[in-house]
Amino acid sequence: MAGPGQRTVGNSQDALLNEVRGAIAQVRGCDAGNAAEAIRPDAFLGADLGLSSIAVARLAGILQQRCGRGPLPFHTLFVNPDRTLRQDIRVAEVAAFLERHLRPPTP
Amino acid sequence: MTEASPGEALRAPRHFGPLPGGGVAGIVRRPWRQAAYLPGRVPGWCCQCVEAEADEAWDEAAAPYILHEPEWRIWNRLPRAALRRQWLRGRVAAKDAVRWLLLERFRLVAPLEAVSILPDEHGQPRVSCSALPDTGASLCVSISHCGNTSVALATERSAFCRGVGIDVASQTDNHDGLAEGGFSSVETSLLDDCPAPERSAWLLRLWCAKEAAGKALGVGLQGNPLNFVVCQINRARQTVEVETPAAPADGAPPLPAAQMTAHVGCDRGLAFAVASWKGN
Repeated sequence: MAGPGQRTVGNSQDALLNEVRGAIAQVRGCDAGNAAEAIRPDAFLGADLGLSSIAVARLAGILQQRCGRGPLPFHTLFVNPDRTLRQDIRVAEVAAFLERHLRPPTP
Repeated sequence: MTEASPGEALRAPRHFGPLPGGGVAGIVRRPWRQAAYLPGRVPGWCCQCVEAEADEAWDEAAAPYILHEPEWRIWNRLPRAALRRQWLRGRVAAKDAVRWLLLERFRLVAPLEAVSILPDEHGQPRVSCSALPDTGASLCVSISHCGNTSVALATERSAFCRGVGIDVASQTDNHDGLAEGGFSSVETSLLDDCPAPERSAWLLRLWCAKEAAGKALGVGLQGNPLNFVVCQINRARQTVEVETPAAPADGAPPLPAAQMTAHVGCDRGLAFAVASWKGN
């Protein structure tokens, strides 16, 4: 349930990808629509888009706000199944993460 | 490598010497004494390297004279020009901080290219210098970047200091989402009694304290800001207590148990934190 001033996000893959692109554009300080569209799904947050660790933390916070959600375990994106650490993640992986965590629980 | 007189040690910044083509490169290098104060009376040497104007051609020409070959190979593989500039600037600040330490602590005048700083498997910078084996000393250094400024903090490894960390962040940037994405509600509640106009500045210092603690421990935040938990703030003393959690987050590798005090502050629009880890 979204709180006051928050909005829920459509859970389709495209809608989530656009939400992530918009949030990245906001973090980078270029909110214009075409700036978000120019962000490729396969781009790495750090190496390609130049997001620092504080920018990634802000991205997580902004996505939580946009999705009307409390804390989401974004840190799991940086851990491989064998518990080794990943240095960088792709835009599409953030969208897929949101899809997994915003999906309504199956009865 | 030559030995400096005790009097010369007081004029350390003069020994930075010019960068290749330094007069036209639009780069300002200076000591940063405000961020050299480490908790626990650990002496630190801190320097800034500020890029007044970008000059890619200078980067290409000067890098081989500033970097060792292994450093240059890393720099040359970086994918974007902005990232290469930042990396080069960080190396200049780190080498200046190490050279200043060598001068004041050991009275050694080391040229820029005598100091090599390469990342280990965790990305932590490791210092090597041809003069160090003679002194038996081991040095540690930490680097941080913000906008057009790179900073570095160096100190001598000892029983009281096994690692140092520094972090800087711009006070004028937008930090929307940081409270939600970087902190737990328990951590942000520590600022409940902070006057509202100061709260966002303090939140930024708390973030820097987490980053500095992660660097001092030699592992970084590892993608999870809650790997380093702010547990106490002393606004009057400008200190922040940071510790690793008792249990790792789901699926994450465990961290060493660590508690650190970070000294925080702000200077010329930059929030900063410095921390040292003395081991367990």
